[in-house]
Amino acid sequence: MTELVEEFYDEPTDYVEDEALGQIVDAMWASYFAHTEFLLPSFDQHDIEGDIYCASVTISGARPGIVTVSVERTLGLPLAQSLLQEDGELTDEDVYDSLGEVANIVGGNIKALVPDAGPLGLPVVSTALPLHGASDRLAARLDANWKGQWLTFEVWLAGGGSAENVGG
Amino acid sequence: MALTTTAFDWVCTLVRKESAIVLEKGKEYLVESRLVPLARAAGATDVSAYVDGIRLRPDRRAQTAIVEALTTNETSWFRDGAPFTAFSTSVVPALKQARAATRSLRIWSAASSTGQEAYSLAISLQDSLVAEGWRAEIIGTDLSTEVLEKAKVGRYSQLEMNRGLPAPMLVRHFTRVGTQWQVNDDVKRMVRFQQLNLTSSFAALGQFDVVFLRNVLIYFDLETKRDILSRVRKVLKPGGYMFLGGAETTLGVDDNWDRELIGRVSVHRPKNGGQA
Amino acid sequence: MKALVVDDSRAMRKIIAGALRKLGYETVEAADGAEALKVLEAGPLPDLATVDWNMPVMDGLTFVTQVRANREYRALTLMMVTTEAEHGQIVRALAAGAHEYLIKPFTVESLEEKLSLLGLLPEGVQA
Repeated sequence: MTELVEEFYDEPTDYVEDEALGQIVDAMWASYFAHTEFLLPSFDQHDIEGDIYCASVTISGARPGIVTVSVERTLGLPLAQSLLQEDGELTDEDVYDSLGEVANIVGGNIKALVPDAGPLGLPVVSTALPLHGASDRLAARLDANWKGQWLTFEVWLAGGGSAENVGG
Repeated sequence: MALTTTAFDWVCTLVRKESAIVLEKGKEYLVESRLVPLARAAGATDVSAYVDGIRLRPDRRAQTAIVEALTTNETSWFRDGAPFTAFSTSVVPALKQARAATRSLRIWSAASSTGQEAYSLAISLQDSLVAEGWRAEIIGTDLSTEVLEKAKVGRYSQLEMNRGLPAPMLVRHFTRVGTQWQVNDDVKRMVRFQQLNLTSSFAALGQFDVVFLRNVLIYFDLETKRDILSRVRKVLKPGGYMFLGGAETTLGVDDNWDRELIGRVSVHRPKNGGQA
Repeated sequence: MKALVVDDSRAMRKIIAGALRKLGYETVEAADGAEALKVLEAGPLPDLATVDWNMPVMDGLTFVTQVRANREYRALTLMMVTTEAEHGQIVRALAAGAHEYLIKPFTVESLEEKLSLLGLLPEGVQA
């Protein structure tokens, strides 16, 4: 199966590009965050400094990978409040759940672009970036600003020839 | 910030005044999601700020854009459901008898926008008549060459596909291409798009069995409406049908139409069977 | 009308149930397929279930398959609401017995239009 995929795709990450990631994030924002401030994509990279939340989902199959959404820690609560449309106090659970669902929505739509993908993993939310396999490649990245703070969406896919040894 | 009551009420009043369309309470999300592109293009921070800006400093062009964003039906497939049900369960079977000699139907989607209505009709006919060896042609026309280009390509985003397209039809008639969905060739071949201003001559279009003229007359004054309806009668074959939008009527505009009720959907037919 | 909203995300359950309640639905929620089956067993049978695909304990496809295998649940309309977006996945869900399929992200408008297609939009509401 892996050989078959490689015949069609010279560069293993060709089928997921920044533009596609941008369209998916844009559609999500239009659907669930239309009542809030706009998400402003940036052409430059903005590495988030300080404490973060990172929500991720894994993609299994012939080209396994991982989709991550990282935000400044202080952005977790307002994001959850916006998604839930609740202004009041929320629990940590609510924040994790909301960030996880954001990763799930982006991840599922990214998976649809990856040939011969298997099941999508359940979302995992942590306070650190996940580890990647040594041969994973950054297939797409989107940096965006919301309420003056930064979010980073990333898609990592297994590199050519080492599809078997990549986890999330 | 969520849409403020003041902003929502102002938009409702504007839309009701300009289009006679009433936005009920609870449709705040609709106003928000439809106005996002306008607000973003205008450089506002959110939809409320955008609306407030126009409310406090009236801007005719922006007001028109708001009304259009909230009243056009460019993004939906089997919009409202009921007219398409009436079409496939009553109109098509009747025409199947009436046109048994020619085994051919021609349909006009008269404000086709990005093509969803025209392709929806093609899909309905593909699944019924065409499978039985009939010929069916759908002509989509619109004023805007920009939307026609998109219609001709027949490729739609995920959000557009979610809009009123039954899942069984999606899997039968569309193929995924990256983040988008492409209408399959067998359906695409049935549809032709061309530019047309409804105020100009329909002579080049030929004759039709059914005309869909939905939610477009609202943009014209009474005289123009009357003129368009009388010329639609001339391109309808005898025994043909016309569909208008749910809130639209020929009454008091052009009285040479009979109204038939199919379920809760009104279809319009030329009086005395139409032209000979 | 009554709807069962099945999704492992509380945020998503709230979005879907909130939209349905605005349309006049009574809603109950379940966080996975197994919990949803318990809700059905307890009765009464809802008119509609919206079903996520990827959930812990029991996924949505298994839930749909089990519901379809039970004659007592024949009157229940099943709509997948999921981020699974491949052509082949939609085919699988329909083959398992789902009546409709809505891909996340979705707008409230598109949810209403799907209900309208299913004849499950309460009286007096226009899609």
